[in-house]
Parts: sequence; C-alpha cells; structure tokens
Amino acid sequence: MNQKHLASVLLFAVMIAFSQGVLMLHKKRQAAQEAAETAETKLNTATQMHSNALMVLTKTKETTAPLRKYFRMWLPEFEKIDSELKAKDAFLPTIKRIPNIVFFDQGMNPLAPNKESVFVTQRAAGRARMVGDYQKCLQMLSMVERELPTSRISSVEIRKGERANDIEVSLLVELPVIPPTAPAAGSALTVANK
Amino acid sequence: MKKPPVLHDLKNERPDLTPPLPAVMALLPCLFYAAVAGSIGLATLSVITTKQAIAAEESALAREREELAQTTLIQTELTAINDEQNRAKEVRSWVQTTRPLMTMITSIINSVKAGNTVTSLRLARTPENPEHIDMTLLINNGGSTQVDETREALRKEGYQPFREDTKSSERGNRSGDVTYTAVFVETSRPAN
Repeated sequence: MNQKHLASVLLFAVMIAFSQGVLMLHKKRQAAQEAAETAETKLNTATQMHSNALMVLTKTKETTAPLRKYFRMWLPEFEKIDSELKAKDAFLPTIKRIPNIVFFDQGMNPLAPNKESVFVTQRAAGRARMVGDYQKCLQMLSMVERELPTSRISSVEIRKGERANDIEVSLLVELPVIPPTAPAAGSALTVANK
Repeated sequence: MKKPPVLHDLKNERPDLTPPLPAVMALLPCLFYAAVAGSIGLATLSVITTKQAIAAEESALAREREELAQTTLIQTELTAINDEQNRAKEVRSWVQTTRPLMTMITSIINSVKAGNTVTSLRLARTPENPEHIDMTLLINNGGSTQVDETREALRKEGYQPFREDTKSSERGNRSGDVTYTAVFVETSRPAN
C-alpha cells in the first residue's frame, strides 16, 4: 500500500466518521421527535380527561344544585347542635317556656348513634312528662316543633288529666347531633361554591 | 496525455514516484467535500429539528402538567360536591321525618264529636321507619263511629292509615269504648 492508497483510505474513514456523526444526530432527532409526539399524545389524553371532568362537574353541579341549596338552607339549623349539652340547652328551655305546666320528669337520654349515617352521626333524645291545661300543653308541643325545626317528636302520649281541662303529656323528642369531629361541611361548600 | 489537475492546486509540484490511482479515484476528493458539506448541512438540520422537538416536548409536558392539575382540582371539587350531596341526602331524609305531629293531633282532637271522649292518644315514630307514625287511640265514648270520624279527618289532612285494628269489649260496638291502632303515612293532601 502506497501513500496514495493510505490517503484514500484515510479520506474514506473521515467520510464514514462524518456519516456516522450525521447518523447519530439523525437518531437523536428521531428520538426527540418521538418523545415530542408521545408528549403530545399524553397532552391530548390529559386535555380530553380535563374536558370530560369539566363536563361531569358541570352536569353534577346542575343536577345536584337544588339538593345542595336545600342542604345549605338547613345546615345552620343542624350545626346549632353539636353535643348532648347543646341539645339539652335547646330542648329544656323550649318546653319550659309556657308557664303553668307541671313537669314530673324532664331530661336527656344518652346519645344514640345514627346507623349508616356519615353526617348526622348521632341523635339526642329529650324526654319530658308533664301535666297542664290542654291548650297550654298543645301550645308547648307546637312550640317545640316550631322552634326546634330539626327536632323529631318520636313519641307523644296524651292522656286525660285529673281536672277537666288538664291533660298529661309524655314526650320524647329526637334532635340530630353533628359532632365537631365530623368533617367540616364548610370545606366542601367552599370548594363547591366556587 | 496529461491528466487534468483535479484539486491539486494546494500541492506543490513533486515528482510522482508511485503509480497513479485508478481514474475513478479522482472522484474521491469530490465525494469527500460533498460528504463534509452534506454532513454539516444535515447535522445543522438535525440539531435545529432536535431543538424544536425538545422545545415542543417540554411545552407539551408543561401543558399536560397544567391540564392534570386542573383535572385534579376538578376531581377535588367533584368529590366535595358528591360529599355535600350525600350530606344533603341525609339532611333531607332527616327533615322528611320531622314533619310536625301537631297537624295530626289537632285533627284528631277536632274530630272528636261532642259527648265523646278520648282517654288516651299515643303517636310514635320508630328510628327504623320514622316516616311511619304509629297511633294508638283510646276512645271512651263514641266507639267505631268516632274512629271513622277520626280516620276521615286524618285522611283529609293527608294521612293514610294501614295495618289498622279496632278493639272493643263488645262486638260491633258503635258507641262505647274502643281502642284503635293504626300506622299512618303522610301522603299528599287530597284536594277538597
């Protein structure tokens, strides 16, 4: 092999090296383009998911709006009672507001759990046994239902009293108790209101 | 015949000691320069395209992150709404069982005819079925006639009885003592 052959081989080697370099850059470009295409596909998927989620949200907002409005209307009343003590403070003064009714028994039964419930988890029961004028006792019952709108008269027994206009009333009133440990409804509302 | 000089202008004249390469090898310098020029051109093109692709990828990834963050926010809001809806259902079902009993009590008392006496009236709701109202009515005078009056008065107020039972000491008692038990559900008030 003479110098001319060597020079030729060298030139070929340099050309092959250039070609390899170009090929390498080309492969890099291909990889980058594929990555870009993958990212674009992922973006399209994410956009579609966003769009679907937005559609579901809008639909859910629309369909649940009346119920949620109803809930917000009642929520302040439910939030007033978060313990047995609050239930007692709400129940006993209400039944005693009407004068001239004699109470034989009054008090609160222990809190009872509300099964399968995640919000109104407990209920308090106030009991009272009294005797008094027929009209006043009915007025008292009416007042309980009016002033404690979340209360539920679970049992009421009315019997004739000893005097002409007197009646004996045994009353059991249930009140919903939302313990403070329950997740705050406000947080859900804040997000939902936006 | 003298060969035409091909790109030999950088070389000084020297005696050609070795035998010449085949004529086709005269293309080699051309190929070399073409390869250099082509490589530079293609490499530049590749680098530019690669940078563009990387920029596009970064942009797409950033937008994807943004979209995912937005979707997460929506999911959170959706969860909050569903949570609120569940609470609302509980509140509604509770409120539906708090319908005042005073309407019922007043109707029963107003239905009692003069001369008849109600000895005892008991209304109760069970925690299992709070929309059902168990009623026990003890009538001292009036018998089944009074029961019919009371039932009709309640029906007008929108209370529908089921599982009724009337007990009396005498068979077919139309005017004496009678114990009436029934379970009532509130339906829509009938149009008068």
